[in-house]
Amino acid sequence: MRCLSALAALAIVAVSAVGDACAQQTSVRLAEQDIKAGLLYNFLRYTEWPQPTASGAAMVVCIYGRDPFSGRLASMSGRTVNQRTIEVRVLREAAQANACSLLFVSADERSNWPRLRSQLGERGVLTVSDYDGFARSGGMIEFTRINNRIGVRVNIEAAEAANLSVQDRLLRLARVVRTAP
Amino acid sequence: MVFTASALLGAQAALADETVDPFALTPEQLFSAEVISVSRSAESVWESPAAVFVITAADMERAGVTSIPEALRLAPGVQVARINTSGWAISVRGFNSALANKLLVLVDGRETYDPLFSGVYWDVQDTALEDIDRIEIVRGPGASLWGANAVNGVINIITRRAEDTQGWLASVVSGNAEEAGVTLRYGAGGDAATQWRVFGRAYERGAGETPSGGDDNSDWRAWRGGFRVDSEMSADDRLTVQGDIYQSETGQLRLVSSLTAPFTALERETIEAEGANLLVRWTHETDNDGVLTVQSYLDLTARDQRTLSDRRTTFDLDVQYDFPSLGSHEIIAGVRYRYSSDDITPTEIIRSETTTHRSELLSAFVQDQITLAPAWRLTVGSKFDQNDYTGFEVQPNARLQWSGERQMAWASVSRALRSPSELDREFDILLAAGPPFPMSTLPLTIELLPSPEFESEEVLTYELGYRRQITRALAMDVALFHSEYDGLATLTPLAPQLGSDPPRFILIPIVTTNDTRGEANGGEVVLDWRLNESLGLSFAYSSLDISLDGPPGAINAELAEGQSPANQANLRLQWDATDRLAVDAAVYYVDELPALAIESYVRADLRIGYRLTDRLQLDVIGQNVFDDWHREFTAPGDANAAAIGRSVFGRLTWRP
Repeated sequence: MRCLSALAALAIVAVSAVGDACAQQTSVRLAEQDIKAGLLYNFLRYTEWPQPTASGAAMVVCIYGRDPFSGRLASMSGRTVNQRTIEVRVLREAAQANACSLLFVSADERSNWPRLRSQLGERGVLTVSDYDGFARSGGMIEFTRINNRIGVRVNIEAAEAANLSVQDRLLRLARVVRTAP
Repeated sequence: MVFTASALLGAQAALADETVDPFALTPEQLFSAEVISVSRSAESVWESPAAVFVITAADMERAGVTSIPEALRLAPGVQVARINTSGWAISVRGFNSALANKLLVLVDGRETYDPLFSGVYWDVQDTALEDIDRIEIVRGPGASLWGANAVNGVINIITRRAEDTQGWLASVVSGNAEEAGVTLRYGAGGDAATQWRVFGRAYERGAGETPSGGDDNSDWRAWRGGFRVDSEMSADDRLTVQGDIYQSETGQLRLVSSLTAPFTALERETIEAEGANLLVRWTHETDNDGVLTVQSYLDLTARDQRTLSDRRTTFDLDVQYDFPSLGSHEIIAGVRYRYSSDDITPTEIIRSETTTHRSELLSAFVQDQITLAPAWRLTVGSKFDQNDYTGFEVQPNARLQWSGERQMAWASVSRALRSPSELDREFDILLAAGPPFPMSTLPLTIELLPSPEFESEEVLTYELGYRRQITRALAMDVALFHSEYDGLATLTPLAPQLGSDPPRFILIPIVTTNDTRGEANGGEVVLDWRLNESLGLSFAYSSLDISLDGPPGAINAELAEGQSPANQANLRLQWDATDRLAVDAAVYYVDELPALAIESYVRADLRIGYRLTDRLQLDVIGQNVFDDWHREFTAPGDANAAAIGRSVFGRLTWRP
């Protein structure tokens, strides 16, 4: 067995050297939270809001519930998108959600979603979550994970009802769903 | 299951491409980016109203462990005592023994406990450790979800999905105690809807020494092969098929009793174990957002040793439905059927009236998680079992949790049972034999008789827990418990009688009764301190106080008081010194075991890992480095007393 072990070790070193020589990186490898954080930024970029709100130029990104991004969204604060500065907020009360441009609803708050949805009504708040069924229950964008890629389901009706227009560049990459009756 | 949870304190994505700014990427790049798996449910531990600890794949690699039992040392509240090279006594929150029966261990949803003695044969619980995603340890009763035997804890070993184990992996291990070990895995499927992997593994581990310097005969050779296929059949359907086949051969020294002179002899007992299992799990998301999971497995095991020869077939069918949210209610319900049949060849030591034992278990559970207010949640549920020995049993549970900003608190009360094993109910075991008394000419035997009157052991446990992310770097998790036990197994001697079979002998019969009661109090504290990207420190402390009260004359009534350490602690340091060099150090303290005359000991482990290239990693690992040997679970007088010595080995891992 010892001998087998040594042979196997030698084989590994040999094959590894060959492997290194012809290896090439194909796609970016990122933590799930980073990919989703990056996508949130792109949602801001490729969605059209009706009019800048009274809060002025700031794009307010809100997280409602526990932060599933492990704090990574903080580094989005201060960046600009379409000449507006991004501000990231953690919501303590659902009542503050009306001031958000984008609202991320944490999966642990899913039981509060129906109430939150009726509270937001037709206000121009882009709603995003990552729990399954969010888009079909009237949410606008839902992260999905298929194999080791992140995807999105977009509920265009829900977005249009809030006078938001998601651009084709995003829609081409998304699966479009409708609100379940 | 609801309490599957992971990466307790701060998920880490150390492997990610740190140089890429995700905000600078286009949607196309992000959608095609590959997700580096941190643990799949990194958030859920924080939310679990239970004492949960997760050992991640990274923890196992960094600790340099080569087996599942050794990995469990990392967790608080778990007693891991190595008996010899291939044997362990493992329990959660006490009642440790080589036949520990108050713990439930699952591998990807497959129960590993053997109905013969309601315990786990640790020598056959193995897989490619590199393919394990995480080990979740729930301390305290998990019976309301998982059913009988989840009395003091549940250990869930969860392997990675095939999509996360693509390509080749090879690792070899060689050292003084870990003589040789080879693991090879290949996964494929790429971006298709179906991915798969296969693995093979073999190792040889050397025998240890007895404290007097002799060979303890526990040398161990084993191999295992397995596969897993994960298929995304449609957007709503997922299918997993996995299986294992294995063989293990080891030995131990055993004092074997017989009715003729010299009555006892110290013999090498060879233990040959083999088995195979196949599991299928189908998950379907219904149109209204419910989730239906159907899981079924077939498990074949065989075990041959001097004292026991057993062939077992287990079939299990489990159906679970997670209802769509109904307002503030999250309901899960399930039913389960298990059939188990064994064929035991009687030996001089162990025999029963029938050689074949069949048992059926029918059980159901329901659980409702109710959101009372935004910060308050109540979980109530119960398991209902119908088993052949004790009939209908109810194991309820209630948990209340409060979630604040970066903190949560929970309290629970639960009832759990350990149902009788075949050994308790149906077997006759020769415990000891001896020469005649001076006044008689007949030899003497002590036998454990079948105890059809033996009922389930019962526990009522109250728990309190608190978690807090104190600062960005420092997190804390505290749990306290008080358990009241009733009807614990008690070995009660009866009046001596004349044995009937020739040769005639004097028999001291012992039956198993439910005559011991008592309580256990204790708690666990975990602190996790991530000083910066490259330096982490974690500390765990566990306290346990068991006090039992059995009838006078009973043999084992209070034994459990002294078989688990009152205090245990571990301190682990994880340091990435440079891009290529990582250093890990761990110190474990385990208190004395008075019932086994085992002294407290300190064990120190060290690992130095060096990345030779991006794909090739070399580790040098030392375990128990500052100690020549110590005993962990065998009394000095035991025939098979084994010393746990120093182990030093090298490990080469290739991940192309």
